[in-house]
Amino acid sequence: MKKSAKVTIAAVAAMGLAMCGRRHPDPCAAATFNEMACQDAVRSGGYYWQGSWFPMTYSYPYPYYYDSYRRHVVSGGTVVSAPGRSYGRPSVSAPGGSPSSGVERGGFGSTGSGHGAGE
Amino acid sequence: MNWQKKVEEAGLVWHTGEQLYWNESAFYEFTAKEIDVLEAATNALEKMTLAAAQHVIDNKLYAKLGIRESAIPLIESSWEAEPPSLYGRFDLSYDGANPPKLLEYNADTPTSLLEAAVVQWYWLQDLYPKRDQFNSLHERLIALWKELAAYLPGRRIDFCSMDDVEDGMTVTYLQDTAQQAGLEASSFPIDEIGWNGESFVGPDDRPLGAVFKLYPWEWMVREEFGKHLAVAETLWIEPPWKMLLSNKGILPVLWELYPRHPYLLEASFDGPGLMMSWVKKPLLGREGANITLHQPGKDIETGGDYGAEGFVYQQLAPLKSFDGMHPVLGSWVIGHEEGNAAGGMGVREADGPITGNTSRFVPHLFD
Repeated sequence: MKKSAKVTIAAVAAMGLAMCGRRHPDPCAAATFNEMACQDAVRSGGYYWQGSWFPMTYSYPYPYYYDSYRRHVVSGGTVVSAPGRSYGRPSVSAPGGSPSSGVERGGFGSTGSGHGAGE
Repeated sequence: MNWQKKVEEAGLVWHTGEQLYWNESAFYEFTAKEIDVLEAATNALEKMTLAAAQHVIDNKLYAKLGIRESAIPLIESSWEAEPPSLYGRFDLSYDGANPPKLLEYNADTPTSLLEAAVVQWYWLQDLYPKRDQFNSLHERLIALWKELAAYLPGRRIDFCSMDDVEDGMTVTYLQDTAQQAGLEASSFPIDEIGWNGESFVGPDDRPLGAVFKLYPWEWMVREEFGKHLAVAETLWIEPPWKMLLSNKGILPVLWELYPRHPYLLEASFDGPGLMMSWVKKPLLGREGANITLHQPGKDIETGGDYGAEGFVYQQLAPLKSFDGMHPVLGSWVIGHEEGNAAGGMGVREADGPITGNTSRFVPHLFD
């Protein structure tokens, strides 16, 4: 068969809205959840996005948003997390390499920095 | 509704960069016979390239391909283990009269998938619903993910790429197809991958069982985390052996194995030899960078940062000009089922003879 019979996409349209519309994705929203940035955002009453501050009112403690994210994932929802550095404070290194977690990050991606890797 | 809105709704948000990318002011029309020719060529090339990979491994031709020693165990173990592999794209020249010719094989990190699988299909439905298109990419991807599910720990696959719009859209589209196949999935930038001393982990510190990475193997093996690849249990798609096929060195290997094959252009590691018109390509070049196109009395060169590992020389296959445009056919393989890997096609055209990352995607149809 050479012809597609049916093409249904869901995540791509969501991605277009969430990431590529140049908005500032809420790190506590299930579809754009970023664990560390959400914790910071709940604590601080807002978050930085590309160096700009966006005040937010989070009515619940962090676990509420994490649980919402997990329910979203379990039900088959798409998650498109922005890179942690996008939520970094101006002139402050990005979250993600937290020594307290014992996890190193940034070990892949340096060669392609600043451009795409597809062809 | 204007076309920009239509293609944005289908996910193509990089259609207007510095130059127009998606172009539907024209389309390419094929006959059913021509599509049969392209499908057969793609299936044949798929089989030939797998044989070429085996030949490289059997004869330890890694140095000729500029592959560093640390990558060899990864390549050989993944070739033996036959881990899942999803897709690839043969770039072909085709004039409708002579057999298609392989220009190169984007086996590791091909993009322009969303345009080929979805956007041009919407275009066909909107404008020519009674016509046909060489395109079963979408349902084949979903079907393949269902087959691969048993190989993916926890029936889960995580997707990562550079923080780049086109790459992000490509992996998000693939994520969509995986989720439609019933897999649990997420996506994140590749620099968010972590190492906890034992395992690669995601942004939430969860060990990564299987990852689709839109990031070249030759970059991964030389970056900081490359040293962990041999010990980590993460299953990577595409697998490391795709390093052999995405390398331009596979072109002279193919020519050596199948001399004068109708789908191949003469190619050599050692120089142009008796070729009158040729293209010099970096072994690990990308997006038309560092290309020299030689014709008697005329050379065209493109800039870039590639070429340190060496070059190959390939006979020039002049791209037939259509209204001044030079089309390259991107013929996709989904999976590796012998004789049935070809899944669809996209056409990119450039003003000049070298197709780069600003070439335009043009839809196609056939009767």
